Amino acid sequence: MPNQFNLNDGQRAERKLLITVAQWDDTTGNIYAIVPKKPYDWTTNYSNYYTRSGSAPNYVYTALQSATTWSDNTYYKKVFREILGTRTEDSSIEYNADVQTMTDIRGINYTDVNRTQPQQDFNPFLILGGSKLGAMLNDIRRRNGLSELAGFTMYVITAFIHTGAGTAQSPYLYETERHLGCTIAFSGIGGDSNVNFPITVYFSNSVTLGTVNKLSNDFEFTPDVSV
Amino acid sequence: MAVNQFTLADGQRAERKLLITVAEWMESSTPVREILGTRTEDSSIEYNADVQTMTDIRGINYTDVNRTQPQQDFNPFLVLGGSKLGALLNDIRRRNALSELNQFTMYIITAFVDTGSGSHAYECEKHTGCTIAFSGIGGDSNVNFPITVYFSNVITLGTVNKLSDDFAFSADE
Repeated sequence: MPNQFNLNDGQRAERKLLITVAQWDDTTGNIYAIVPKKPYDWTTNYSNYYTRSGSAPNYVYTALQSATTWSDNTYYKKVFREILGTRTEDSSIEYNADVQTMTDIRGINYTDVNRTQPQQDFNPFLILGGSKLGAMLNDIRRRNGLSELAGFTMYVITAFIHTGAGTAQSPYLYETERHLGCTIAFSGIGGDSNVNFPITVYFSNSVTLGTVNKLSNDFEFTPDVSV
Repeated sequence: MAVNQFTLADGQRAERKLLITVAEWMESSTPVREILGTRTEDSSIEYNADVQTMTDIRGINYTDVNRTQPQQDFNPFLVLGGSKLGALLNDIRRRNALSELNQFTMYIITAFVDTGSGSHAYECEKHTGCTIAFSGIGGDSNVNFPITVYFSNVITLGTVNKLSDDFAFSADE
């Protein structure tokens, strides 16, 4: 049975409760994220990966001193994350479903949804001070380094569904979808009064379901069921 | 190489005037430049990306950005006294010498990224072999001569030391 909305009967979910977060690898990143799959540089750049000890919120991360046997969802790496939507007034995930309806010789319709290719536009996406995502995309843009646009992990947090009591002992855990291998493309740069740099997120559908423990970008994602 | 961050306070917007497009061409073996945008109220570089998304039989999507064909419209681009670019394009127009439209070097200055210390070093992309095409001439009260810049993607990255058209471009090492 699906988890129900944490809303009163008839209460609407405010838009701010649907949160899209971009994450990308950076050895200078300020957040440690768990590594789900064996990275291509595991044996050569092992010092970029960390083990974790201690307990929250005082975890200690220790860089590997040598290559070790790989294990999924065990090691950590440094990343940056950015919550998308600052200065954007309206944005939706569009699923672009391939829908086919056929009618058999008895006049009965059969409608199949064959696949989805979800994407989300952020327009305006202003050039804003402090935006590391904006700075990175602008750096890719000027170098025309298009293949670098495909390395994002995206989180879609549905904060209107959570478990937990919201206490220190039982914090809220918000339902989240994590997509690996997503693409963020820019469509233009310019505008009138301020510099706009609109982007589109292309979700991979390589989904891991799970929860996050907070709604700021330093959340910890805990996988539950993989689909 | 590390990504240079925006030279803006947290949350501060980049004013539109900090994204500057400059055209350069040769006249009598001497480069001539013109900053574009005078009397234009809204203009963006559109990247016209070729984006392909395919779904494999496991239901996973792969999205590739295969190429960009950036272009920028300037509309209105008024026929203005003192505009050397306007005069050049009008001369090409009247002679129908279309092959002369692809002689331009374009600079895109992102003045919201300044890597200089002591003196300015604004990040800049230099595209050589660009084309500027006019799409019409006419209008209502004044003569409009709207143009489109087609960027080549033959890029040299670098910096410029000032935001006027007499800047010096220094290629990155």
